[in-house]
Amino acid sequence: MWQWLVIAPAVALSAAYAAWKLMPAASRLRLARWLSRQAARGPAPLARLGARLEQAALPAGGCDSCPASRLVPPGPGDKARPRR
Amino acid sequence: MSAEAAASELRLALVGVPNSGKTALFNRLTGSHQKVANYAGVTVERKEGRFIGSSGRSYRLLDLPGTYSLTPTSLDEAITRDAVLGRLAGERPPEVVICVVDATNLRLNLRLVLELKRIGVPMVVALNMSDVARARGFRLDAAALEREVGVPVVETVAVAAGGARALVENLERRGLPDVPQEHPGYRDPTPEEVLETQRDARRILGTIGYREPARQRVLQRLDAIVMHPVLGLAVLAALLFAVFQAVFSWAALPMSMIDTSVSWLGNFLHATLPPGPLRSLLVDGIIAGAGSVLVFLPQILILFLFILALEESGYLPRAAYLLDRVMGSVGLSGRAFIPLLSSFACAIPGIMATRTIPNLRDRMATIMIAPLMTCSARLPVYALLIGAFIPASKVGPFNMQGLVLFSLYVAGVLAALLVAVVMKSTALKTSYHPLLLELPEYHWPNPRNLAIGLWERARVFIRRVGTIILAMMVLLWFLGSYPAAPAGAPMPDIYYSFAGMIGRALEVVLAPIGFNWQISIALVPGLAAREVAVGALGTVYSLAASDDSIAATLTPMIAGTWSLATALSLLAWYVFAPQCLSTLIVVRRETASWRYPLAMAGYLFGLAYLGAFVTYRIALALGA
Repeated sequence: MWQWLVIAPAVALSAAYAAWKLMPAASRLRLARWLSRQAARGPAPLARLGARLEQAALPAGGCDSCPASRLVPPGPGDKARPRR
Repeated sequence: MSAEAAASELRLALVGVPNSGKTALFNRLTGSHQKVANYAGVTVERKEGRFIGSSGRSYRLLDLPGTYSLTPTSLDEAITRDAVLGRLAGERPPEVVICVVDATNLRLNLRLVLELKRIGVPMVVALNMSDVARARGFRLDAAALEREVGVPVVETVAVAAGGARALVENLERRGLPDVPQEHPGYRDPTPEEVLETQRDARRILGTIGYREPARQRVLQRLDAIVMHPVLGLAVLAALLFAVFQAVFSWAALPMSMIDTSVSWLGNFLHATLPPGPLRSLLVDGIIAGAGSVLVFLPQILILFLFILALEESGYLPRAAYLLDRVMGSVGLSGRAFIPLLSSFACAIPGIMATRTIPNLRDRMATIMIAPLMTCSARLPVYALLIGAFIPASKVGPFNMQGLVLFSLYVAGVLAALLVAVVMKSTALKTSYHPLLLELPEYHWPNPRNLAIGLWERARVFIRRVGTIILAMMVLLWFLGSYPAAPAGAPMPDIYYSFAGMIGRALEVVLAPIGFNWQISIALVPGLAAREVAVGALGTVYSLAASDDSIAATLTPMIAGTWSLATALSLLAWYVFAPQCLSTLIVVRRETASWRYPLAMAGYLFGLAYLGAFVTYRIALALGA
């Protein structure tokens, strides 16, 4: 039974990560901002984690294959591209 | 960063014509690893980095897409103009523009310098590739150029250590200039003003004594061969053929080493851990799944070594010139070549690179066929199936497996051309646009750039294995292990699991093309990224192994259980299927509409099913 103490979090984290990666960028950013706001009400480490999550959700210029900057100009389909 | 430091930070922007070495200079100054290549149009978006000068001052550096003037003809050129003029929302204009000019082609570069000077942006001219220019016999006089243009001119060699020292020293001497929030007075020049600028550029070049040397005869002969309508195509085919032969021949040893290490780790964990779900997760889920994908790293790196070397050498624009007639005959713009070429690495940067295509319909047609180029994520799938079903025999001097891989790449290109013909003669009809292309000089590939490129590819691949592929394998293991099989069940446990249920449901649709329930399961997580399917097959077959010992590696496992017809059908499926959600999401972003990604998914899945069906039925009829 103790093995489930390892397996359950691994499965939950994997599901969350896969959902996060496959989510459209705009939805991911909205979710990250909401989570960040909730985390900001908690203790400092949690607030920092929330802020980092929001940073990570800012859309990169391409996919994992192109290590582009997070500050990219809007493409034609990026009317609501967030900016720092 | 403190407020004081932020206030004294100098914001710089690299501006210049395409292929003048902006990104190489960006990498040199910031220590970054952005992609550089010896052809125009590599940078299609703004990139940012920081560096510290010897005085301790901080600099923020923007690398902008190349442009021939401030009057844009494409999206990427508009980005550069807007960044320089301070028209990007929430972004002030740069305090200093570093105008990077190619010293071997001042005639083309000087007009942009004069345009930038006219709008009054503080500027330094970086006379880049000055070493190459001198070696080729150009007469360069930076001091005279500085006098004539009226802005500081410093020589740089972006690809050499210390090659940007003079530039940094010049920047260090500068104060913080007073730059307006934007340049509202800018307007596009009239044709007369353009001609006037051109006359100024010619006058300055005459005054400073800039002379272009006669081109070396050996290079002229080389171009006569590689750009010959018949010989050139033969050279291109031979080069590509050699690349695919090398992918299989050279990778055998490192692949075997990784495979042995993965097997050893699996066996070690199997022997060390007590039986139970944790051992199953680690051995059948993670090691069998992620390990099956990791083994293809050497093949991917060998493929990219060749692609990067060809990019660096200056050969690729010549290939674009050669293929322009082919592209034109199917209605595509010659400018589609570079985006389509990028798509051999990954369709996503390829689709983004279509921003360099000015005509909207040409751009959409290129986006729609980009996923048919064989991206590197398909390579593990192809290599797995070829390794399992195609003998490593020789056909004359050639490796049979390399021949099959080459034919799969050709199949992707032919399919793209056929789809382009249909699109360009129906929904996306346009008139022919002639190709205007600047041919760069030949360069020996720079080992540092090759190393950076390969390192980036390896890092990206290993990160994908360690993140999204690992996560998908853990999920697949869970779905493939629960609920447990009923007592005395005749089939393997996974058959009764959630994943088994999904696989059996899909098998109804996929059985006519020869896919069994195990393949059907693997296709679902494979939607996240193509290579995930290989890991998924590893996990599925490991969970389905009948005895308690760890499953053998994936290749012999599928070779023993699938028919050749099934393997060929799956190969045909992967030539077409849009098994990559990220690509569809980027198409949505680039086209600002769901219409194109949905049409793309529809036609590609349709082609994949049709292609697999025809392949499977023909193979069965031939007794495969």
